[in-house]
Amino acid sequence: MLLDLAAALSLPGIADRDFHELSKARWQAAAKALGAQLETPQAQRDVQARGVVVGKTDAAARPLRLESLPLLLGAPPPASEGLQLVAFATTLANADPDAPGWLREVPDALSGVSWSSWAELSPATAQRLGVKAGDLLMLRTGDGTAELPLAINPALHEDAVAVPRDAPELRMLGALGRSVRAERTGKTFALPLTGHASQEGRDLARVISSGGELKREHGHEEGGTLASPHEHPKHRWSMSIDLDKCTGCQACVVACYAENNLPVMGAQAAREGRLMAWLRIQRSVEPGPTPEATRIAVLPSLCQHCDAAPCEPVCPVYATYHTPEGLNAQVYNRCIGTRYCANNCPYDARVFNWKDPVFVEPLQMQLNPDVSVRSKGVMEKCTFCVQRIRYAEGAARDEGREVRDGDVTPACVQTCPAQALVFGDAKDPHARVVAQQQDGRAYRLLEEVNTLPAIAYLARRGGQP
Amino acid sequence: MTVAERMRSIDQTAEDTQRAPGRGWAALLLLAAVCVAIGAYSWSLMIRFGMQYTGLNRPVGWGVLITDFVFWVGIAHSGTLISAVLFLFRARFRTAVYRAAEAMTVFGVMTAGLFPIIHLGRPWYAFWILPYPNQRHLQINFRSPLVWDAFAISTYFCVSAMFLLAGLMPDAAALRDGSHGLRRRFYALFAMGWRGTAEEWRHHGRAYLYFAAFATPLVISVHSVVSWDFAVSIVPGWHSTLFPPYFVAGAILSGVAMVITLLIPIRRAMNLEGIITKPHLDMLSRLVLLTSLIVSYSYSTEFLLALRGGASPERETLLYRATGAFWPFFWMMVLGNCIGPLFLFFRRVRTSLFGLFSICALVNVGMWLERFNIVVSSLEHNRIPFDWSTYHPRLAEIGITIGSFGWFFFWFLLFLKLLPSVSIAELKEEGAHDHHHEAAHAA
Amino acid sequence: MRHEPGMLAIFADPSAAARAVRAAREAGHLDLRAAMPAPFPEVMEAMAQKRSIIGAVTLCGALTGMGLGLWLTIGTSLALPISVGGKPVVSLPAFLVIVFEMTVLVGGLSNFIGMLVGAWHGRRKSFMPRDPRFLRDRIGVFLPGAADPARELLRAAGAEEVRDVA
Repeated sequence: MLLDLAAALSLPGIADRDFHELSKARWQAAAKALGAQLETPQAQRDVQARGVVVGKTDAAARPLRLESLPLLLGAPPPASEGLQLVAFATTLANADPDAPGWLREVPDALSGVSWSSWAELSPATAQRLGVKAGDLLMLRTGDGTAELPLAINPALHEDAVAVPRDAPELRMLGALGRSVRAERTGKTFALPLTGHASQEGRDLARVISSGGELKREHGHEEGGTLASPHEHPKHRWSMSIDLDKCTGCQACVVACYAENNLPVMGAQAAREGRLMAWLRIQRSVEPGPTPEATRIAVLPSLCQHCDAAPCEPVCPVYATYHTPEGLNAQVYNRCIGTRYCANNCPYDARVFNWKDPVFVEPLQMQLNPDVSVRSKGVMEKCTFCVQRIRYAEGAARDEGREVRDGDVTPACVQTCPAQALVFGDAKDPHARVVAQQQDGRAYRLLEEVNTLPAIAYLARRGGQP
Repeated sequence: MTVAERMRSIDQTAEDTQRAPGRGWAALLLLAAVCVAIGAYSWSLMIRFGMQYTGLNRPVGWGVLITDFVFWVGIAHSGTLISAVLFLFRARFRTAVYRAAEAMTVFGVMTAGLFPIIHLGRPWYAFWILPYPNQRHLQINFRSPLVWDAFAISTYFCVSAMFLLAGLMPDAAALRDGSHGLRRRFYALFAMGWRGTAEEWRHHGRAYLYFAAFATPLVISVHSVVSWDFAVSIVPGWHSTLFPPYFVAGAILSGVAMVITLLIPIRRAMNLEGIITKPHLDMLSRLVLLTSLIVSYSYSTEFLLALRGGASPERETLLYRATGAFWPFFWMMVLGNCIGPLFLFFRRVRTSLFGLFSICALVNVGMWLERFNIVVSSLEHNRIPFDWSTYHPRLAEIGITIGSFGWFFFWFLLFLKLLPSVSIAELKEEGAHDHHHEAAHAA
Repeated sequence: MRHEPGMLAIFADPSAAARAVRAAREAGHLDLRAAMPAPFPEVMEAMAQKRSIIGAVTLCGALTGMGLGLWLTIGTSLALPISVGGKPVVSLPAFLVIVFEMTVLVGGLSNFIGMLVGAWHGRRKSFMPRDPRFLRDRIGVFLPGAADPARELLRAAGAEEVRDVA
């Protein structure tokens, strides 16, 4: 639209070009100025993927010294010994004791910590100090001392100790950029950590090199299942998740908490693996030879609403079944809590209510009236925001029309700032989600198990973290 | 000894077991009752406050409670094998021991049957698993192994109980006519009017044969159904076609080991050493050896197939079972189930009460640990590494386990004192047969 | 149990009782009754009884159970044709487990009830004098309507005691 406007105003250099041509012209000019080589289509695609033109320069390279960082940030120069204290911003507020429950409970994207402040060290530094994850670290600056539990971060520089910006302990340590001495205290702290941090080579969050084809090692045979194909007469709700756009910000997770009356369970539940999130960001942090070579991946994981769901046939009382619109429905009233469905779900998408939820006054006023509050002993999981689907279908019926693509947005799809999640009707040939699912980068999670999931993931581009 | 004298001696031995209980028995009964109380209290916590008092989490949805369930179903398999299968094979050594074993079966099933209710998140709706007509037009899912469990365990309980009652009828009648008052009425209840006429024996004998014929496939099918709780799922480490024969062999192993573990003190305490002799125990221990070998073979098959199959979740899960968080449990299981029973190849060990008792006690522990390993390690270490976790059993689950042992021993101790723990009628039949043989040889 | 007069012989040894039964049957006392603490094979054989009808009862019960199992599983699945995991509505391989259990359950129940009814009917139909020793260490053989000549026969076979029952 802006291009049309510019063309109409006859702005120089714009006339009649589409955005692709325009940007290509721009970076070709930049490449020429920097003396970069951009002849091959591969090189051009790399630039498009990374958004950066890298050129050579004759000047001698000067590394950026970490000590300069505080100067750049306006802090006093540090002492020469000890570790550099770096405060980093998190999308949530796990370390802030005054933050709302959602922001403390949803685990920090990269460290997996919730309900606690923490300090991060690189594995080499931790080994040097003789500490491991969960140990209490004593940080000492000229201004004060603080004890913080340790989380290991392979991507962190060896000379740095990182603390989340909202950790109250930071106030005791003085201004950031200070040099700190880190010592082991010998004490440990049960740090509420969620999630094993490695994919163990199982390639769940896939990466595709630019211009390459997605390697399909685990063949998904057509007809390779004894399950009878489903009849979805009207709609088949599906989703696509673009891993290239997902930043792991956890906004979708918090949105799901808000929309679906998920209770906040607390630190002890986080330690015990009993958080109630229907949608989780599963991170993997794979160390490399250097901190820069750490490979980080994020995978939003939720109920895949499989066509051949393994959770459905094992429920003794039909508390879960496949609806005619393709959803895997969970009937809370019927569930007697055998937990067989949760065991059988290969994605671990199902969550059990280990106790009655507590919504502290006045938080019960925030509850969504379109969604029930589940009691203890009942299984729950993502419903593709079925209340919104029904609402949209009802609205369409009232207006005497069919449901259009875009009428239904689940809470997570609505909230994602990168628009990585796309939701729609797989039976609608014009739906955005159909185009996404047919993309060359599209794959299904755990294809070899043949669950026929409704969610397609689009592999992240490029080999860099 | 004449036939009549033999029969009188059998009657006397049986009556002696029914005398007023001593302090030892009373103390054991009290202990069992206390254990039941502990289990009841632990369960009450779960009913009132939810399953949070277990150590379960996401993804480990099953733990000690399901282990207990499979363990007790295994214990329950002892009696049916000994009384039904060995009956069909006409194994003579079964006569002296099968009544106590049958009682263990019935009480084992009664104990096992509690667990599908105890482990539910909403146990007050446990009856929803039964196919009763209702105005909401709801049905149960017959594809689910848990429904198969409900039917199989109920059937097994009914058939085993009826089998036991059928066998008890003549014996209770024998004791009835020699007793008075309340005791007499108690025996009369179980005797169901038995007079011992040839007409009655005619029907009884035939019916007993058919019970044995029904119970034999039950031995195989019930534990196969329980194994399908795991094998029908897609969890790595569970999803294996080997499970039904593997579990049935394991059940017989744990059942017969429990029979031996209990018979050794019982025969001493109740002066049954003349009837339950060392050769009987020797024969039973050979069953332990045989099933232990089958179980060892099953373990090797499971591991070899997974390890040779290339990188897969199954491979990782099975390696984790042997080397992961609960590795001591794994190796103790191997020691108890595979290595210990190998000593039973030696006759000296088979006829040594101490040796038998210790090996069989180790088997019991090993079999419990086997179920724990299978259930927990596969759930802890499944397809999505992000979800890998560790399960720590908590006091409520341990309390319920203790309660289940209390419940079993409570009923079993009552049975020992109130009903004949040897089969009087069959022993008499055997005694007459032996007398005939000896007379024929002497002539 | 209708009371019948006759002659009762008591034996301490099963082979003696078997001899007596055979002799009595040869002498024409085909409707004789016996009572014993255990089903001694010699005596049971000598009595030459018809095979118990319980086999037919149990078979009927088992077949009923099978039908019940099929009706229950298939019927309820068709009544609520809900889709679970893409499995067919009538999933026979899964249902066969239930069918098997129902076969065994109803068969076993019929067996037990048949046995109880048979025993009760046997007691009613054929009167047998009561003696607690018949459940303990003696075998009783009763010849209904027998006269004195039978006494010799029974004693010759080895009866410990022979008495008239009025």
